[in-house]
Amino acid sequence: MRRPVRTTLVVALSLLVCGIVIFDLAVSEAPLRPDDSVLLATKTGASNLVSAIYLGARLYDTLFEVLVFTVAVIGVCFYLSERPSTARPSAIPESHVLQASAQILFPLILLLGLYLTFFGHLSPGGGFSGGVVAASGLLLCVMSIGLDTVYRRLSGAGIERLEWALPMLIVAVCVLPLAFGRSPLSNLLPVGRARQVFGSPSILLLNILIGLKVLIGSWMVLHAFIRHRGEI
Amino acid sequence: MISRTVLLGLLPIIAGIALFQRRRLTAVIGMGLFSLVLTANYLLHSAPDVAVTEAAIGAALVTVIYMLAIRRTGRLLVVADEVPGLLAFEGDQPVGVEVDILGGFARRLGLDLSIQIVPHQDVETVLLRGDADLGAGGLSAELDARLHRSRDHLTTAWVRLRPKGGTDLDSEEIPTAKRCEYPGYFSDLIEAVQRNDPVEATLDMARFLAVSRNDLSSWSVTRLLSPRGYAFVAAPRRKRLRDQLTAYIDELERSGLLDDMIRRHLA
Repeated sequence: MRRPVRTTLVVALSLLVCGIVIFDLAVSEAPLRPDDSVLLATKTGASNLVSAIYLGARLYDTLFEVLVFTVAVIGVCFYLSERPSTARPSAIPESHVLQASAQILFPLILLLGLYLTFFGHLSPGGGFSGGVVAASGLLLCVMSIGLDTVYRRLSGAGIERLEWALPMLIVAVCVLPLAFGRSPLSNLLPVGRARQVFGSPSILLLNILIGLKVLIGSWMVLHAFIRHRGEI
Repeated sequence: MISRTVLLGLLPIIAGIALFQRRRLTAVIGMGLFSLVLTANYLLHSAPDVAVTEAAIGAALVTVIYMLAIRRTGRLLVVADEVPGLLAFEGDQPVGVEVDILGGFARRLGLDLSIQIVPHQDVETVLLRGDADLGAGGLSAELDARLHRSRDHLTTAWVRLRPKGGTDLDSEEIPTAKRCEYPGYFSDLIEAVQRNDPVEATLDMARFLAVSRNDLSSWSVTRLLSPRGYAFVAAPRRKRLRDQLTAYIDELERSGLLDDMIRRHLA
């Protein structure tokens, strides 16, 4: 398809989508909160309804999210490993500002990532976004101290084996309730008091596992791109 | 309500702007901006979970991955040795006839011009290795047959520079020059001439003009009988790039811009 035609189509499509959303917003009332979700929140102990739904009741949402991400990581690593690697990806030498700001920002970004993961069932966030935030903190580290140093400190290839083990572990945790005659994703651990970090232990566990998996997966994607495509 | 509508309205505008950018880097930044506005939209529409994910992935991670991916592709990488008047650095800024031509050509293709200075003899090797797109810097000789030579943009004569006292060769003995020859970088040659080291070199006119600003009384200068044109050389498998560059130089010549560039830098 010719470029102007394609571009016009994309713009027209975006306009159409936005028009629909605007129309919908103009005519609809405030979104309803189904009683089921409230019930689910009580059952799982998670006050963040989104977490309660997708980590407490939607097995396929959780599994396929993990699966899609793993397939993406495998694809990137497989296709990029065929390309010649950049001989010596080094730190950007002239950016002292970056080096200084990375020292201050990296702990903060990591803390935000941890917060999003550990409080995912209480406030907006979750393992997925927490892992990605922590990975972007790692990226900042790579920019300031160099890829090789970060790779060494993360114990190199060892962490990659963990990346392949984690999806299995997540699947195991998801389907473990079946062994006890309960539906998948059911709460096997006792639900604590509402609005507490350990109030919803099974969702917290899944969030931590997913966060770790996404962190390592994003790191592997970034590592492959920097090693084979660029020279950060 | 108005802010939500405005933010929603901004989305297609930013997407359109990102789409119409010629430079890939600007387009990627446009996409990052799009993600940021999208994040604001999600937030205002009571979806903070999605907003957090969109901000982390769309605005940060994906933008960086795109940048890493286009790092090699978004630029026109040129290898050359410095030739005053054609392609040389004044501070950080490259100047010269070839820089003007390549700069315009890169803009036409929507790429960033990136010039890497290598010794004259290495231009061919780097291009054959596929580490650069174009070779420049006063290339006038026959190079490897796998490289694609563009049309000439300027004609040059050849000069042989030899220390006096050695065996003198007249122009009949070396009627033609195969290639420009001197050891290392051109700046090394200039320094060697300034130190009065007995160096031997075969030079084209642009390089000779730069060398002749020094005292050449202890050298014998022979003009060789093989005027040739300066041209650019494209890497193997970049024949289309060569054709586009040749067409661009044709266009510059027709519009008279090429003469302007030559007058500006070499007059």
